Amino acid sequence: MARRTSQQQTEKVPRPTARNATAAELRAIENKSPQDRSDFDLLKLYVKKQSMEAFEALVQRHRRQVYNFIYKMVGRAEAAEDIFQETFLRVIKNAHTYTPRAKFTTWCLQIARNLSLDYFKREGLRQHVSIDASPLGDDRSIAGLLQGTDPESGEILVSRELVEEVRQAVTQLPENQREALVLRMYEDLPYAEIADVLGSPEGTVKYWVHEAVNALAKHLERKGLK
Amino acid sequence: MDERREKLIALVLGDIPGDDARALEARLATDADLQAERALLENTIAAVRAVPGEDASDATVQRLMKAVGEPEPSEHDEGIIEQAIEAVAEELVEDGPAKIIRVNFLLRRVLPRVAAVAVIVFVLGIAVMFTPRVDLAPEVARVDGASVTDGELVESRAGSPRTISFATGEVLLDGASAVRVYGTGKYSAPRFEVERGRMVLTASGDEIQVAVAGKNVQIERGGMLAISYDRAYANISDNGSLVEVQRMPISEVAALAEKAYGLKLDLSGIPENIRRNRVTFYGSELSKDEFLESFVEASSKHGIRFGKDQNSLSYTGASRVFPNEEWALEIAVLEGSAEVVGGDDSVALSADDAASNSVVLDAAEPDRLSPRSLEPAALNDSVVWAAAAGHELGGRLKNVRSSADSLPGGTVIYADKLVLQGDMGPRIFKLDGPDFDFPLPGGRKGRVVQLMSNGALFEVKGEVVREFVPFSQIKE
Repeated sequence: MARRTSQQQTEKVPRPTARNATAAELRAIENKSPQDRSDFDLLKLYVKKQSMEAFEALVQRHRRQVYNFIYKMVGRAEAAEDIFQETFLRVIKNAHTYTPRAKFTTWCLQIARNLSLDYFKREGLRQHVSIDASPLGDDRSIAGLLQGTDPESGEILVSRELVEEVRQAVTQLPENQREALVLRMYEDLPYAEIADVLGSPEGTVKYWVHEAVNALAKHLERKGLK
Repeated sequence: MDERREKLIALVLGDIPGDDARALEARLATDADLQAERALLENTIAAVRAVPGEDASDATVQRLMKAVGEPEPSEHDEGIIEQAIEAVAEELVEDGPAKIIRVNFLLRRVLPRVAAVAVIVFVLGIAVMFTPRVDLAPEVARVDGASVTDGELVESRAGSPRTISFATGEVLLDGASAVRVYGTGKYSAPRFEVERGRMVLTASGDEIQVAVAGKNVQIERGGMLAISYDRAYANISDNGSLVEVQRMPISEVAALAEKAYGLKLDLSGIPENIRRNRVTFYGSELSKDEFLESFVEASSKHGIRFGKDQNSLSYTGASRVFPNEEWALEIAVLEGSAEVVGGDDSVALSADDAASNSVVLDAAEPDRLSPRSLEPAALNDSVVWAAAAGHELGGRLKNVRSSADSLPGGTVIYADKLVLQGDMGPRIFKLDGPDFDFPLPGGRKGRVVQLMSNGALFEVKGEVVREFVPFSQIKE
């Protein structure tokens, strides 16, 4: 058997994974107040001590962000719930491999994204249709919805119909634009972090977000929004 | 997408560098088509953001937890000793003859580690022996990433909101506010004593006890409460880097000005009763002249003007009577319920009961504990400042969206470095107000008609023009 080189030995230094947490680290984590425990701390407690409390805290901390992303991606509650559960089951399965080089949310959203894409493939769904295919149909324009509202009050922007129009339009954006827009507008992630989740350059991500806003603005303009 | 649209989108999303943004804002000020295009984009983004966020149902989370169950020990869950044994085994298997390798292994890997541990233990032991004993106070909350210990006073400066977080909720402090925090247990909410200012307290996981102006307030779990305790207070730093003057008598402000700036103001022309009137203004990095200007402007509603020179103040005799109490307190329930107790009286407040969602007291009637009714718009106004940096409370503000909107007097919004204040403070922007009273470069005066991220659009007095003025120029 070939002898290992010093370089190979260097690579054998354990990465800071949840699996490698020491007893002292775990004691320090347990002495922290719950709100001070990092995501990595909670993963360590789960991996090394099978702490369901820690895992539940992790789920509670990220449930809204993860579910919202999935829901905005697939647009169906039932599918979103399934993918949400599967996302966290994958988190458990791979918890020992997680390293804090990436933020936990980034890692978790990457898993959720991959599962959402799998869902599209499995279901044979079209990932992109023209956003001109309005759920309201041609006979109900945005301009029509605006009638009787006070343009100064801002009420139009929160009218139920318009929200539904926009929600549908977002789901019909091209996949990369939709992902980037959802992560920027709804999850408030910085571009650098979105780039990590999507595995694309930051400049490209910014371009996708701008394209998405442009497409939605054109769509709403055609519907009469000013 | 054309370049013009691309730049506008970048502008409204805040993705454009400052210089480019200023250039584009300048063009926008005079280009109606461009303004319309930006309005469309802003409305589109507002509509996108208005789509509500979704959350997994509790049932879904419960199903997940059930599916996870109590797992078997993971295949990856070896202990430290097992890992060490494994590492040794790998060395023995992969490297030549066992006897030689064991010696090499001991020399190369084990002995250095043992030696390092021994040195660390020795150094730590010495350090412990010579370190004076420090009694670490327990952390009861955190603010801006730092610990808050039992009994600590947390203050915020004018223009800089802060958030106090703890296991079961949070407190969002407006600028120029102060609250003392007391621990009540590791997993229960701290108790708060409000010294002054405005804050929103959120009791997510546990009830919160608050003392303010001799009253005790209990916010029930799930509740959210806004408190505005506006009381006499002044903090003027020697170099004028910070000016916080709140409900202070005019005569006392003049005395403070002398101490901080060396200003010797002649108040002899002002009647004694008018000198006792209280004024409020805030600022930062104020020169002597800017301080004086702010002071006189805040005092002008009491009929005070500059005298013959900048060192004397005069009284026009035209002031109206304003409430002049030393303090005023407003408590409003934004969500859930709360109880206010003072002496033998108590008032139950509920966000679901529009007739009794608030209490208003002042120094003239400190014990008038009777429920009041605030309209939703007024409730929103009470937390309008909480729109700071996209805080979720800002989501309540249905009627305040873009900088082009009209805002009621007293409204304070923080957005990045822009501080927009209603009718107080040295920077007074009266949107849609009747007066052309804001000083502009060149000695002109104007009226603010639109605020932007880095400046404002003014209507200039005596001219039929609108002019964009960057904030940096306004300050000059």
